[in-house]
Amino acid sequence: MDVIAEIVKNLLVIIIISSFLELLLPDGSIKPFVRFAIGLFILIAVLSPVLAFVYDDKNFQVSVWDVKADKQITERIQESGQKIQQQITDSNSGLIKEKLEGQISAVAILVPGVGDVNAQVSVGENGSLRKLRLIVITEKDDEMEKMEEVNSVSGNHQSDAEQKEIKRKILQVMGNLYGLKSENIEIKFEGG
Amino acid sequence: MEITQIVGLALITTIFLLVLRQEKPVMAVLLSLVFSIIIFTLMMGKLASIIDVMRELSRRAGLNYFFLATILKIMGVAYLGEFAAVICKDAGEQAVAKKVEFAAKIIIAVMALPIMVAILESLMELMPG
Repeated sequence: MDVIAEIVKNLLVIIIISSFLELLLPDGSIKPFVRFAIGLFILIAVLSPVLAFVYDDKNFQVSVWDVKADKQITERIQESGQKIQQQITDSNSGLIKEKLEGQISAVAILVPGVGDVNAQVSVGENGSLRKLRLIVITEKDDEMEKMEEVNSVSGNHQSDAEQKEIKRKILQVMGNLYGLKSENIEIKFEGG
Repeated sequence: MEITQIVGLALITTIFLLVLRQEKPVMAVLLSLVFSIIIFTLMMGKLASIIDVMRELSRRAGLNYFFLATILKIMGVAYLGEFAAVICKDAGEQAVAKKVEFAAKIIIAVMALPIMVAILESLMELMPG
């Protein structure tokens, strides 16, 4: 039953593919030659499994032309390839993360008004930056403190506006440099 | 639409060819060659995608990979052979065109020969005596 199923499947695929490719052929005197070659493959598709089934002990030349990639072997190779890739990614992702956090902190600290930054990143499988969490400690020099004292009557509005401005700038810088969307960047303000 | 561009180009080329064939036949052959190359190049991407689909289909079906590789090679030879033969015929060189076709046929036969030998030998082995 398996032999018949294999023959039918092979024949179907060969005939569909070859008749489609034949449509693309130019109408010329070469066409019969191509048809002949296709016919040979159809013969092989029928002969090879039948001969292998009937004559178990013999090794026919025709089977050389019916080489198929073993699905199990292919899957095993793919699986081990994926495992190796995962191992490489895992061993490197810690290093990538550390470097990226350092880079991002160094860049974010350049934004005016930022005193210190603590960056936490989450990295994708291929080492790409997925999410970014920034803990920003705002910088307050004497002049700003004085200004705050003056504006103390109007509550916390000034510092809110400042934080908004800092947030906007950081989002812009991170978006431009790392291609991150604003929803993937979380910014928290601490102290100051 | 790509077909409108191709049809437009074909019509313009045909008109030019009509004029050039009377005045300068050599230029007409060159123009015809350039037109063929342009069409061939335009269709190359699409042809590649068709071949990719075929390859993927045969891979999924677990089909013998010699089949597709050989058929594609044979088709390539057939296409190029016809392409060159038609250009030669356009230039009025029937003899050269026939030689190109002959060469293409021989190359295709050489590609198909090992398969034929394998089938024949297998059948011979089965025959008694």
